[in-house]
Amino acid sequence: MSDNKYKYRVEIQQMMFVSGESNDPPVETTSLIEDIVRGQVIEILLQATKTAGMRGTKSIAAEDVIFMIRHDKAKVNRLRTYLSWKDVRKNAKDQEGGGTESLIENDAAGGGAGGGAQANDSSKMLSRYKKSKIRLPWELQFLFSEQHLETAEESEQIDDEEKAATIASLKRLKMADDRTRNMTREEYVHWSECRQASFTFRKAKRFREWTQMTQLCDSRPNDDVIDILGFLTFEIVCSLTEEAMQIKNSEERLNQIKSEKEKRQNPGQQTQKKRKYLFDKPDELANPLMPYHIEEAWRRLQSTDFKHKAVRNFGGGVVKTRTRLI
Amino acid sequence: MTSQTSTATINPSNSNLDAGAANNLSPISNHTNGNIAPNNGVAPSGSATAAVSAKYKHNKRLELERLIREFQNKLGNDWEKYHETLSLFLIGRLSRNELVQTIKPILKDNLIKYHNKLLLLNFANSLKDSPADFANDFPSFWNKKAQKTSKVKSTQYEKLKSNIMGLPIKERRRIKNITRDSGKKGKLSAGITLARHSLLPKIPMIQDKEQQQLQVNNLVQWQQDVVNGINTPIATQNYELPEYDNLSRRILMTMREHGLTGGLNAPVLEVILLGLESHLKNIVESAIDVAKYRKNKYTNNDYIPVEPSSSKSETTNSKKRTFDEVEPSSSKDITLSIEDMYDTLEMFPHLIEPNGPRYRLANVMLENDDDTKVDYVLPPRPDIITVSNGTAAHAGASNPDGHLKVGDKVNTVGSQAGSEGSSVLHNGTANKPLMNGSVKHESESDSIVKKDADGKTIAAHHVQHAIPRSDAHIGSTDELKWVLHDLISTM
Repeated sequence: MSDNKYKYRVEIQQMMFVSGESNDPPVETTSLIEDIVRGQVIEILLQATKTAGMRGTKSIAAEDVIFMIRHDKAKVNRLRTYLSWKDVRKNAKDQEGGGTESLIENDAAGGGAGGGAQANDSSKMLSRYKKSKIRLPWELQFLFSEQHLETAEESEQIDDEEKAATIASLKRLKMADDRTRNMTREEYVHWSECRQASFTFRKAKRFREWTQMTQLCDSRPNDDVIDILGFLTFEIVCSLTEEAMQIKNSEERLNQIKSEKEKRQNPGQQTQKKRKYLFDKPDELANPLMPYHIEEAWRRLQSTDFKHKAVRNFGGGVVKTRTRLI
Repeated sequence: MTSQTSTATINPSNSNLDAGAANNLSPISNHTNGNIAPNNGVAPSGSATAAVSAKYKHNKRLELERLIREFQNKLGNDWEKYHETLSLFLIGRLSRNELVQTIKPILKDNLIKYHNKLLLLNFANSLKDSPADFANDFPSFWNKKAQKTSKVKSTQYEKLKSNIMGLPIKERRRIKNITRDSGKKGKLSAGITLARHSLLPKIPMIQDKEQQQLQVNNLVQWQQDVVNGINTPIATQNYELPEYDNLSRRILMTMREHGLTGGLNAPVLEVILLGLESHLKNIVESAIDVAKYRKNKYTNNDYIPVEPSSSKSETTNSKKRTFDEVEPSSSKDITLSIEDMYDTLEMFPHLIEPNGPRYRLANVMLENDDDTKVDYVLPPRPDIITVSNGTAAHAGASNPDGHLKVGDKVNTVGSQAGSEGSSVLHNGTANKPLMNGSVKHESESDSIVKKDADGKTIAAHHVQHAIPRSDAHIGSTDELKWVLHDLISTM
């Protein structure tokens, strides 16, 4: 048994399956993704420690981590939903015992926004439990010392960002729906198991060792933070996979167009074999994601947006930025 | 106030008063007889608060509270006004005349005495030490701090200070100019020397004597590493992205120059190449964006065109589009040219550091290769023979019939640009070679091309292995012209 540096291959494969990659990715791809995820987690921890230090404490709170991703409203909403399911689960455990526990666990462990489909039967039960709304200290209403009470109409007003967030979550649901529409029962079971893949669910200790958290943080981050990190790592793998799939598809299109061009230019030379032999490779080669797709996806996700470049544009020099959180 | 001034001297000995003694004021009132006007320039400290005098022998503060109480009672309603006026006077807002005018109607006869007493007591207090026993008062907090630090000054400091102040001014100035670095061996501050040092190649050296004996062979190896690194061609020379061996040699050279004596892992090269490719891809992405899409985006298609032309590319947006969004019919093959690169780097200067190639792009490379126009007259090319040991011996530079006839189209007058360090030549013209790339388009000849070809053939014919002249190591101005010409015209 070789001492394998890469510990999360299975989880990463499951997450990639959920995000659209149906072929088995090679080991190099999953190793690369694992390295990228670990780098991102370390970056999150470092910046969260810095933010906590500015508050005057040494321990990272959940808000410090959410602060990193505050610009991506869709993700923040998904995260809030995810965390609120955790609260519901805790309340359910206290109140109703083991009966509803397994059901709620399935919902809570899945990636947040998709929980709606499965929660239909349990929604009646769960609507009794209040979902605690997590307050984010940087939102507009907290800049004033007194916050006015939210009336019913106000809570229904949706601003543009929330609209975008809702649209993003709807897109995700639709994508999931498309993929699972024609699945058989076993396939769907497999699918829902894969959706529960997480870096941290019930493996908090291994996760801590893997990220070498003791060397990064002065005080031990609490379980809330670990859960949030688990959620964020899931999202990182999904974004990387989706971007890499796009790259792979456009590469295939390019190849197709090139081969068509060649065919048109050389109509006489048909290079395809007409006869099929027994030990030929399959016609449609499975194209799993290769490491270079992931590298290109990483590069694209790390591009700085225009507003950050525009002001610095003519000041001279390369715009050097920190690693962005995907 | 009246103009009587008494010469009441306030002696410190008067302040030997016990705290709380009721007859505090009587001895003072004996001295301060009535109509005493405070001096004009004196501004006694404005604190009229009661001071609890400590049990010192000297420098006790005088008690004011009783006096103020009595005064207040006597004045009654006017106390406010008096208080305000006096305070304003003490901080300088009112002049003495104004004070007098304001107060005079308030103060009846007896009260003038109180007024004087008050002012004089304040003045006396200001000459004493500040109150030391404010247990909970805010000022005492800071005063305690100040008292603590004042005892840190040791006599050594005082001695040193007095010694230094006894030195003449030149010595003192010299002492002031001593910085942290001075006196260290080998510290250079001359900019030119430092610049030259940084350009020289370096090898690591072991300071520890015993280690030095153990590792003396490696010095040769390290030197070889550095030399190999210097000799590998760089991308500008071979027009290729670096390969593994090129890169490893150059990395090894840089490591040795910075003192790292260890080895090099293969993943290092992969990471560096990956970083290089990402950087180049970012630049090329922007270049493609500029060349292909921005032209369409920023043409003025807002008005309805007169002729019903169908431009499919109106739907471009500024986002860099992936390949599958481009309609296949409109995929004209676009080649990126140097002008596109120039536009890209002008529009997005944040992509690269401003460095040599960037300036060269702007100044030199936008010329066309076909227009080999040169505004200066090049003398006949001197024959340069490279000997095997690398030195160049100039054979027979003065080739009399090497003066080429290039037809009638020789430029005689070029634009006068300042040239750095080349002297004015008397070849029949008074040209100076241009140093920057802004060449004027004149009637030109393809003289350079011809000269190159002819010069080489002539050199081949007239090879003379002459005895090198005594000043062969000093180049002539013709050669200098050729060197400069070569520098600015090679890609």
